[in-house]
Formats: sequence, structure tokens, C-alpha cells
Amino acid sequence: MSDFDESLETEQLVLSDLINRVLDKGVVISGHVTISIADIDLLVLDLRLLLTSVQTALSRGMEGGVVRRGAGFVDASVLPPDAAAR
Amino acid sequence: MSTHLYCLLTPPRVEARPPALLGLANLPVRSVVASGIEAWVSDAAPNDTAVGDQARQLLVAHALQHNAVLEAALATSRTPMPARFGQRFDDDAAVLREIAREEARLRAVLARIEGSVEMDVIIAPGLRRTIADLQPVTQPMHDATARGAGQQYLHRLRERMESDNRYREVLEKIAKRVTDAVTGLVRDEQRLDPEAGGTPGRGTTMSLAHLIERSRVDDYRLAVAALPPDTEWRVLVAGPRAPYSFCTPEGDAPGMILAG
Repeated sequence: MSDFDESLETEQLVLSDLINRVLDKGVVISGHVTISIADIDLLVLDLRLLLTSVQTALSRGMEGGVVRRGAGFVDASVLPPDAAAR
Repeated sequence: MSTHLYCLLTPPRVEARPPALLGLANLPVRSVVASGIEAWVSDAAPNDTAVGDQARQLLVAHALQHNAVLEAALATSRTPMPARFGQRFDDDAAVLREIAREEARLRAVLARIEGSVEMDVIIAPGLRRTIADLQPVTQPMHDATARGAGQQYLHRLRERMESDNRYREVLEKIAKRVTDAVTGLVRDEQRLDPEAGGTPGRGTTMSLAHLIERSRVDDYRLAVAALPPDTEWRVLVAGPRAPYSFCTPEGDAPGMILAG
């Protein structure tokens, strides 16, 4: 792996770690969390991080909110647990 | 138009927020104050019709814009309490009502993170480890109808599980070295489970989050840099960041609603 490749991979690792924290951590003071999801390709590792974050939100069983699917945004608070995989 | 919440800060210093700061979808960030707590908010990003790759890219872009606002908040010499990405309220008044309702719990968290930042350590395989892990995948597929094919499959599955356990042991060992190296600098530690970063049972990376005093960032980097290098694993330091991983009351899972 060239120095450039390693540097790029390092940058991707750090970025993935940051995005994972932004999507999965932080204080919640509202039960209404809206996260955009789409057809998620399970073969791509970074998307697994995103999928895991969405599944985390679903598994916490937050209450309230309205499901809105039309524009590609899905309210994670009321979906059944397997909805993110559809 | 609903309101997107970025973070909470105390004490309120509305004048410290950069006046031209932009957030999600390049919407201007503004301050609202309730109960002596300042919240940075903006209008929520409009619903987008992007799907597939475009939607994923949009989500990542918004997450980075959300974090950019948190970095601006850190630059005001206060420690922001990051809000979980994606929280929307009907309007600013709804944000203020929630802050007033949860004031006691929010102040407890703000006090806990005051004067601190988050530093993250990512333990990831190097090139040699990555190549070694690919070897089982390159073995030729056996004939499923051959005699003993089922037994071969189960044997390979067991080998894989044993390999996963060794993998996890190595990650744990390196994580302990990191923790020991920075133990005098750290107020708190949170760990991102390796199973959350990849295939369950075969996490390819582990991430540690440490809450440290702002003034000790350089000491922290030096302590991690002083670890003996490993030929198969890399230890990457990221930060300082807003303390995403340390914003829930003791005993609560990250992201749980504070309201009782």
C-alpha cells in the first residue's frame, strides 16, 4: 500500500468513526428523531456503520412521531425493527 | 418549518456564536436561551427526494455539517453538549420548553463535561493483518455434494469462530495498552464495541472515546504516540471533538431519552 493509499485509508477510518459518533451519540431530549435512509447496500462496510446507527435508534424503542417515507426520510421512532433492512 | 438542534451550552454567550455560521443545508445557525442554557439551532433541512447513493451522501454531508457547528461551539471556549443528530422540534419554542423541562438533568451533564473535550482512538488492522484475514476467503469452494461436505463446512465455521475470538482478544489487548498509556489524563472512557463496526463477531476496528481536559490534548497525543508500534495494527488518534460519547447521565445507555 502506498503512502497515499494509507493516508487516504486513515482519513476514511477517522471520518467513519466521526460519522458513527455523530449519528449514534449525543443527548436526546426529544423522542422524535428523523434519520434519512435509503436502499442500503449491505456489502459496503461504511454503510454498515450507518445501518447499525439506524438500527440502534430503532432498538431504543423511542415513542411518538410520524412515519414519512415519501421523500427518502424515515422517522426512526415508529418503524418495526426490520424496516431499515427493506 | 421545524427546528434542528445542534447542541447546548452554558453559560449563555450569544455574542460568541459566529454570526455567519451555517449548519445543515447551509441554513443559518441561531441561539435560543432558556433556564440559563443556550441552544444552537437552525431550521431543519428540507426533506429531500434523493434516494440510494445520493441519499446516503446527503446523510453523510448533513452529519458533517452538524459536526462543523459543534466544532464552532467548541471554539467559543465552552464545552458544548452535542445533541443526537436528527432531533427535530416543531419550532424554537418547543426546544425551549424541553430545555426548561429537563433543566436539572441537562445541567448535570453540562457540569460533567465542562472544560473537557473528547479524544478518540481507533484501532484498525494494518496491511499485513488485512491480507492475512483475506486468506480464508480465497480458499476454493468445496463441492457441496462431496462426501463429508457438511462436516468440512462445520469445521470451517468453527475455525472462523476461533479466529474471530482471537481477533477480539488482540483488539482488547491493544485497547488495554492504550487505556494504560493515558490513564492519568482521562476523566472517563467509553468503548465502541467492535461488533458495531463490522460483521457481528468479526469487528474490524475498535474505537475508544476518552474525556479529557482541554489543556491536556497534546499530552494525550504524546502518550498514545509513545506506545510501541505494532506491525499488524494501527492506532489512530482523532480529536479533539465535542463530547458526543459522554452526554448521558450515569447508568443510561447513550441516546436514551432523558425524560422519565
